[in-house]
Amino acid sequence: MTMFSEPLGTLWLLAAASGAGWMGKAAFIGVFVALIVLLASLPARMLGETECRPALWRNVRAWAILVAVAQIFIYTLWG
Amino acid sequence: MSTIRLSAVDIALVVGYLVGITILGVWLGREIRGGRDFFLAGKSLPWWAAGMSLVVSDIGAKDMIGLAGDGYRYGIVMMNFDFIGCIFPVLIAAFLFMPYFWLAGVYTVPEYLGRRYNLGVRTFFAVIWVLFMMGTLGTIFVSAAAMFEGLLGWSFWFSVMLTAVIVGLCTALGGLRAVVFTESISCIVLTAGAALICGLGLAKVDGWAHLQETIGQMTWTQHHLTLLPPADHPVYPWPAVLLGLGFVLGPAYWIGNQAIVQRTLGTRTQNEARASYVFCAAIKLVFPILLVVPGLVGVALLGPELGQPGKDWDGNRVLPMLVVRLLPPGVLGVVMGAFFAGVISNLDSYVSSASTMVVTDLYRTFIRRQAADRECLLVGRWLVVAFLVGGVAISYPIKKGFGSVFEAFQTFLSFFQGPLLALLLLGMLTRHATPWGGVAGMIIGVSTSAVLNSAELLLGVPGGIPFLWTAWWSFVAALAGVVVVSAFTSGHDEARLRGLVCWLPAEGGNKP
Repeated sequence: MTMFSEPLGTLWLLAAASGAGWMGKAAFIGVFVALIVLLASLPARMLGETECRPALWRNVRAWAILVAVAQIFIYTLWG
Repeated sequence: MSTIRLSAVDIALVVGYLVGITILGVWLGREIRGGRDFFLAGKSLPWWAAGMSLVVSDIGAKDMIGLAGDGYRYGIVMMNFDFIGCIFPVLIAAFLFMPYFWLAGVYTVPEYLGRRYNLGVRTFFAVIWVLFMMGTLGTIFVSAAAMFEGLLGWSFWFSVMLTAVIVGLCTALGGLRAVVFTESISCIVLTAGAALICGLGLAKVDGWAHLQETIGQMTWTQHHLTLLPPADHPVYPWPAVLLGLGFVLGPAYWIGNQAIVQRTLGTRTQNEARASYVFCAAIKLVFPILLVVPGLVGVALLGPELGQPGKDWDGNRVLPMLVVRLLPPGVLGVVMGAFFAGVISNLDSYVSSASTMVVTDLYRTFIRRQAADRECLLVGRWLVVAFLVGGVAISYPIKKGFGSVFEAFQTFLSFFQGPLLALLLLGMLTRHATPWGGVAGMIIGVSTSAVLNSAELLLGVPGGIPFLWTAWWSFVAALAGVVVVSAFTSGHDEARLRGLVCWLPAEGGNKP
């Protein structure tokens, strides 16, 4: 098992020594930022939005982005 | 621990709730004509009902009790199970995976794997899921019994039998439609109950700021108030939370768990399937706070009595003790209703899904290929009863063997979730994954899980390996197995893969 965990473990422990707080927070927030970029860039054809764009409150993609923004806020606050 | 006496109002609320959902479940079952109605609710579910049902299929009594106990032990890091471990994968699944399950018209996740890879992969995961669900049923019964024993002084067997009978009536007669609509009601009751415990708990400790101050003064709670503990945390190091939970266990659970996916497959349109997942994610922004904060309140209120958690410390006592001390008569009925709601919604999800998988992936595949729809309906109903009986039977040994119910649940999960996710990801995202690649990935991934789960015994790693790391490495091993073996074996032709791989839409295009 050490062959798996040691290299990664050493890396993370080094990161911890140099302030894992900001690193962890940046990683989690980065994941949600990447998710927002992915959601925003999905082609409309894939979501069946080709004929007419739905109203904002009925737009599932917009709601998903809002939820992801809320997650960024939570990890900023408590991360 | 002292038990409570319910007032007449409390009893009326609980009995009213139980009778109400049983009648609703039976009533909704009157329109069931065949297997499609029973297993997929005739593809008639609205997004809001499926979304609320998704929430309570995931959060039940095991989470209410387990998360409060683990919140006491580890702090707000436990919220990650619903944040990075749920919201992130749910949003990914809503847009990249669910539409393809829905369009493929499958009843189960193993059925998809069978079409994408081969019968061996399908059968393996169907059998594993059924076994897992049996184990889960046992853990849910244990959670329920612990709750009712602590609160009401009911015996273990009385609690188990009562819940089994209610779930049996609703699910065997009403099918998925009854499950989803009764779970929608359960979601409202569960939210109200959890909010009451959380709100009254915070009021008792003079608010969040005072609670933070109290916890900050203790010596053993230094990481209780951060979502991201340091990288050398013994159980939840943040890199493992991100990689193991966020990238493997969470996605595998929300993309590959039949009990979850089945609700979405029963929605009216592809867009409603997507909306149900996003609605679930929105509700999940609040739920973990309502479930974990009571654990922190427990640290402040019960700390001198329960002490610092050690090896044999029982986290399942925290929530019942808080309920007994915090809630006045009249409010207790709502909270007890919430506990019943959590238990029942969890149980009906798992028995319904296990029954669907046995009929679709085993009975119709190996025993009666030409089985008529009515026959499948009948077999499905009897299987619901059989699974409940099995769950009741194994609940007692589970009670004796596992300290923390929630941990037991996660251990079950981590064993094969990584390999399942690897097969689903590669199967859906690339046409190059071959049937033999799937078989190899499955074997390598599950073997890796088995070895890492037994690391203390087999490899001499003191204390074993955190289950989140096990999940991550079994996923990586399975991924590597599929890629390497697929490079040397031939896959299905393009016609067969249409509608199963996201870059190959079904003939006529992917219409919502």
